[in-house]
Amino acid sequence: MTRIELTARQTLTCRISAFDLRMNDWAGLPTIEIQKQLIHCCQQPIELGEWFDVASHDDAMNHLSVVWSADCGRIDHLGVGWRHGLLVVHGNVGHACGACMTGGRIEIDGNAGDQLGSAIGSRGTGINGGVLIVSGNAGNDAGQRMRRGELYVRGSAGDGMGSLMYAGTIGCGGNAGQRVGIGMRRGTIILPSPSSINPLSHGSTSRFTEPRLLTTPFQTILAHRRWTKNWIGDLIVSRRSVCRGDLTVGGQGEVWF
Amino acid sequence: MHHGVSAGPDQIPKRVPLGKSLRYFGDGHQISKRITLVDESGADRPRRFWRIPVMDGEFICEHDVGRTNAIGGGNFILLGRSHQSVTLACRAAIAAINPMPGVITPFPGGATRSGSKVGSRYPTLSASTNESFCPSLRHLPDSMLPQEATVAIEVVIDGIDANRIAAAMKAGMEAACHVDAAEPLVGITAGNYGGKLGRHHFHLRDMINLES
Repeated sequence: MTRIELTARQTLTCRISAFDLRMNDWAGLPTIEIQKQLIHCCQQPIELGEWFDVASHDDAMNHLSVVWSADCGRIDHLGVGWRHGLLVVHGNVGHACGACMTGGRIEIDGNAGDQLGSAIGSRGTGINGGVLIVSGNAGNDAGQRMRRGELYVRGSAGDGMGSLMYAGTIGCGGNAGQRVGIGMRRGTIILPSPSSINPLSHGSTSRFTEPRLLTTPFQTILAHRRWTKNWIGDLIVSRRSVCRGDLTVGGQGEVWF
Repeated sequence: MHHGVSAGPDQIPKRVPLGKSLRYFGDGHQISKRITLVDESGADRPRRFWRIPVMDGEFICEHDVGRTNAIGGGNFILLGRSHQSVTLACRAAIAAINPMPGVITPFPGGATRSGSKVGSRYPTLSASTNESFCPSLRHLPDSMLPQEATVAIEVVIDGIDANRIAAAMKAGMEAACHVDAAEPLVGITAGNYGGKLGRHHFHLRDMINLES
């Protein structure tokens, strides 16, 4: 299948929106056509080739791979609506990376901005399938309105992680900010500690139940998959307690810690 | 619960519903999890699991599983003088069969005391007790229980193909014969069903003569 590599020619100096890039449709496209794809820089459309060198070749994998070798911290909406294949970014990404993705896998070797894999614009659903992995930290509202799929952040996450989520799985290896899982209906949030949800501190008005012993063999299934990175497996299998919530909306979500 | 066939509905359209039906036992407390796993071809494939709360934790199964054609009902019957001797032989046989690929012993513990025959005097039943091996029915003219045998337990084997079932039967019978019990087995036989059930016949003498 096709492997497409993009390398930055220079350091990005303005904010770029990659909202209009449909990278899943790049398989089979000639390089020159990919370079003509439009991105928006300071609200002005420019061709991708003006900022990035594009190389394309076939590899042994049976899926599309798109690799960005650049610090994309100023690129927003990267991988919006990602459907299949593998998207890798060797560097940081901006806001709304992987928003509304429905399948495939996105791997970020750096930090991510706000609204990581969340619902954007008028869309009511964030991640609706696939796997989004961030090796660094994430900003606010990661996994907001998530319905399906998986989101893992190795470092810390900002406020509102997993807020209003319908289902799916979110894992965070570092500290999570305030309002974690607020308004969650179902789904699973995996944390190193319960400090972000404070299940006991609010007594009967708490959004989450008291911690119970976590006894599910699903931990093993979730942790031991061929693609699962070691830190994700360790994060999952070492959880021992669970809280259920958000009770204020009748939610049956669970927070493992 | 693992079915061993990881291909999805696009490759194996014949499906057996598991969690698809069982989830309702959760009465609203069940949890659906659709996670990405790598299938045999190396491709990412989403698979749906159901987590159903039960009294000792959680029961987990897949939404549905692929189904493939196979052969069911390979069997041999161990005959002995006591429950203890036959049970020990059974356990040795099952232990020998369990690691073999492509075969299963579908009964709990791998063996059954309620061996059956095809048909019944009641028209609605397709199977009924195999009276030929029931000690309490030894007086019947068609009893096949040897005089000194008081217990018969049947080991049932299902497999992907006839060769694997034959190999499993051979391994099971040899293990049963070599078990270190106070009393040896009286004999080993098999349900024959008049030779009319199924296309595949496994003759025990041929099994024993199989090359390892």
